[in-house]
Order: sequence, then structure tokens, then C-alpha cells
Amino acid sequence: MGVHGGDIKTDPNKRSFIYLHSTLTLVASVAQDGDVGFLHKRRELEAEFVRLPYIEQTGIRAGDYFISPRLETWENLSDSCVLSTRGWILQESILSPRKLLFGKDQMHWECQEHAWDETDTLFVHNPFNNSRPMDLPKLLTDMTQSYKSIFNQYNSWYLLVSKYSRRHLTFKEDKFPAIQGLAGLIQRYLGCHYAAGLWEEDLPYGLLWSSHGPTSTQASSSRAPTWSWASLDSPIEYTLERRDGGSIIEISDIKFNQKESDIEHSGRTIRGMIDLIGLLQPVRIGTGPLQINYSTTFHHPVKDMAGNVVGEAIIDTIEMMNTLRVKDLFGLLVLRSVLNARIATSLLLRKREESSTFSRVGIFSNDRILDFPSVDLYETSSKERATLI
Amino acid sequence: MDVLLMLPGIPDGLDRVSNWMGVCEIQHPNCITVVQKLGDADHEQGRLPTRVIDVEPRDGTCDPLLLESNGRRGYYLALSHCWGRANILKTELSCLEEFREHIPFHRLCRNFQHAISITRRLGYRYLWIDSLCIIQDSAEDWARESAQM
Repeated sequence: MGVHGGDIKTDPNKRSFIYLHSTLTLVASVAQDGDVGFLHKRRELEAEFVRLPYIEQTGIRAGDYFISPRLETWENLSDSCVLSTRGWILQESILSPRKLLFGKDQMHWECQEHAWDETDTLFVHNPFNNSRPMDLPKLLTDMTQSYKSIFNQYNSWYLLVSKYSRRHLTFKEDKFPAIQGLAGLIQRYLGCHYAAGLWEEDLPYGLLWSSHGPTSTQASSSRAPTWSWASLDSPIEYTLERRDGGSIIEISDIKFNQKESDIEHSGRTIRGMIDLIGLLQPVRIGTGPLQINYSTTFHHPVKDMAGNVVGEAIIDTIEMMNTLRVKDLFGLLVLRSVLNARIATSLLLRKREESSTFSRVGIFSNDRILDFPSVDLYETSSKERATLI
Repeated sequence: MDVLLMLPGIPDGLDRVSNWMGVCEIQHPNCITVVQKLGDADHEQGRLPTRVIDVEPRDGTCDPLLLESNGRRGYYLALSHCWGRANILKTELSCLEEFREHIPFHRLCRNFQHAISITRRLGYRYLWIDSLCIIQDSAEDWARESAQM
């Protein structure tokens, strides 16, 4: 049947992305709550205007200046907008090609090329500068770049999930669903493989997130494997300059074995394990001060079994802190500088008692240790297989 | 106080929106190519989401209704909003049939009422709102639809 109710039917097997294909997205920026609404009586702007004559040098009055109260504009909208703190809104904002934002004082337009305020009298070119929001074309362009160098095409994704991890979700189990539309689109468009918040194609590096903030908490439900940032309810960070800041780093022999991976997608929960082959070495978490003090994260000295400090660790969650004094902690080498093999970044793993698998508890590196370690933790290590769950 | 070079007497806000829309459609190739570039392979232009709210008639003399699009084409607006603590009206299996006939306007939260009147006044027929267009107590529908946002 070609015609239905006057509309031409389409192939039901083809899918759409709701925000991406909308003509216009209405953004209820001011409404903190569904009951508030976003249309309000306008301020009586005309009554608040002061008119001043504009006199040219020749003495001729050529027009008028108007002095008006300072209104909220598109540029400062995002600072005050309650939606900018909400988890679901991130992909809605990125995917919408055109947005009509209802602000406190006026309406604002934002599309791929322009942002306008209602009080802009002319269609003045309002080019995006640094305040340009993260948009889909840029994200996809970045992710399709194949830099030959150390620049990482996935950095845009890591930046995005760092921001996402700072947003609030009413239902914490929406951590995966609230970004699934965007991930699905990227997967379809770029052909890369989504792996519980990371991309298989960039996995050794994608594992190198770190927890940020002393109140880091693990998700109450085990919605994500421990190697994914999505296993936390709290902010995470990627230290991007480790790869693209000019330092030369090689990826160690860790291999992501795609065939043996078991990544199941079931909406709110994603389980998966990664088999890695790499250098594994027992470590323990030491006590005592580090040379550098940080106030915002848990930094702990990592020592080899002989007691030498070999790095400083950021522990993923507050709950994991309690388990650190026990044995069965290991370092797994992930990145090593080719200029100085002793500068390295490793995952801190705990061997699980009930099986031969490992769960992630943190990350450690030694590049900030002032009194540089004289010991190469992995000097005597041989390659081993480790399964991360 | 801030000096702005602008004239008092802001025209009706929705005229301004129509102007923006017109300029964007004609002069902004990037805004169209975003959709087309991604749409060529997997998306047919103008395909409606699985369900949309049909807001006609424009004068608001009848309640809106929930339309199963069955692959129909059309232009639609989408709402991006925060649920907050409000007890907003949701589509559930028990009221699906009723909402296909009509969604009682007076029971909608103000955000939704406002979104529907803006959609009407801008001259569009279809609007997508997550809590109404996804069946909230159907795990299957929720998983399928939320993955396409």
C-alpha cells in the first residue's frame, strides 16, 4: 500500500533519530519542573528603554541610541539554564539541528550556523566563537579524522562523556539509555563499535579514565563493567594531553581480543569482559605522604612488593578505598613513553577471589612523581592474559 | 544598564521565529546537510517517529491526540525539557487507547501545554514529547524508542 491517510508510507525497517530529524526542537530552558511552563508574561521592555539621540559630527541627528536593561542572551543562557545540568538533555541538545530556546527574558535561536537572540534587530551574523556548543558535525568530523600522529580522534567522545558524567540523572539506571541515541548514531555513521561507553577501536586508551572528586560513588546496581566510566555515578576525567599534548607515548602490548569479548547490550545494563594481554605485576597501596598533595581526588602511593614507590593512584570510588589494604592488587601497564620507558600509566586491578578475573579499582601513573622512581615496576614481568569484568 | 543598538517595539515573537526558520532553511546549508548526510543511508526524509502528538486543530478547539505514525511522513517539532518533580502526564498501557482518541489538554503539565500551543501557532501539526510518545510502562517500547532519541 503506497498511500495511507493522504500521507505516503515509508519503509518500516528504516529507523529515525527523533531529535536529529526534528524540524525544530523547543527547549524549555527556564522550566525546572514540568509544572512551571516556559511561556511567561514579558517584561515591559519598551517602558524600560531610554532613548538618546545619535548626533553626527555635522550636528545632524542621524538616529537614536537606546539604553535597555541587561537581558539574558544566548551567550550566557547556558550558565543559568537548568537543562545544562541534566543528563538526558546532552544528546537532545547535540542531536537537534535547530533549537528554539525559551529563556528568562527572551527567546533564542540556535542552529548549526547561527545563534540569535530575539532582541537582535537584524539578522546580524552571530558567529560562534569559543562558546559554540558541542555539535554533531564537529563530533562526527573529529571522530572520522584519521590522524597519523598521536592525536586521538576519540578525544571528542572522551570530552563529551566527561561532561556527561557531571550531569544529573533522576534515575541513575538511565546512565546508558540517556546517551544511547547518540552512541547508536555514531556507531551507525562511523562503523565503530560501542563497548559500554567506550569504543572498541580505541580501547586501550579508552580505559584510561580516572575518577574525579572525593565523593565518587559506584553505581548501586552493577549496570556496567568496572572498566567502564559508566560504572560510576560521579564525575570522571580523561587526561587527554597524555596522548596529544606532544608527549610521545606508545601503546603497550595490551590487546583487546574482540572475539573473546562478551559485550551484551540490554538497555540499562551492559555487561562485558575484556581479555587483555599485557604486563601484570603485583603492587600494594602504601601509606604515607606523597610528594604532591591534591585536594580533590584520592591520591595514594603505589608501591612494588619491595616497598619502592612506583606511582600514584587515583582510586575509582570511596567504597573501593576500604578494600585497598588487602592483597591481590595488580598493576597492568597500558601506556609507556617511548622516550623514557619508566614513565607509564597503568590500571590498578584487584584479582577477584571467586575467579581468575580482575576488576578495576583505579588508575596509576608515575609522571608526576618529582623524585622519579628508580625502579621499573614491569622490569621482570612477562606477558600475561587478564580478563577484566 | 547595558547599551544595545536596538529598536523598541519587538515584533511578535513568533514572527521572529518564522523569520529565523526561513533564513535557516534558505541560507544555512550546514543545517540541512547534518540531517541529509546522516539520513541518506538509514533515514527517509520526513519520516515521523513511531508516535507523535497530533495537535490539530490549530485553534485548540479539540484536544490533541496520540498518533501511531505507521511510517507516515511529516514535519514535527520535539520538546527538550526537564521532568523535575512534577507529576507529569505519561502514556502508559492503560491509557494508550484513550490517548489515541484524545489527550485531555487540561491534564497536561504546563510545559506540555505551552509546547503544544507553540507548535500550533508556528503552524506545525506534530509534536514529539518523550513521556507521551514512549509507553512508559512497556519495557520493550521504552528500550526501542529511547534508543532512537
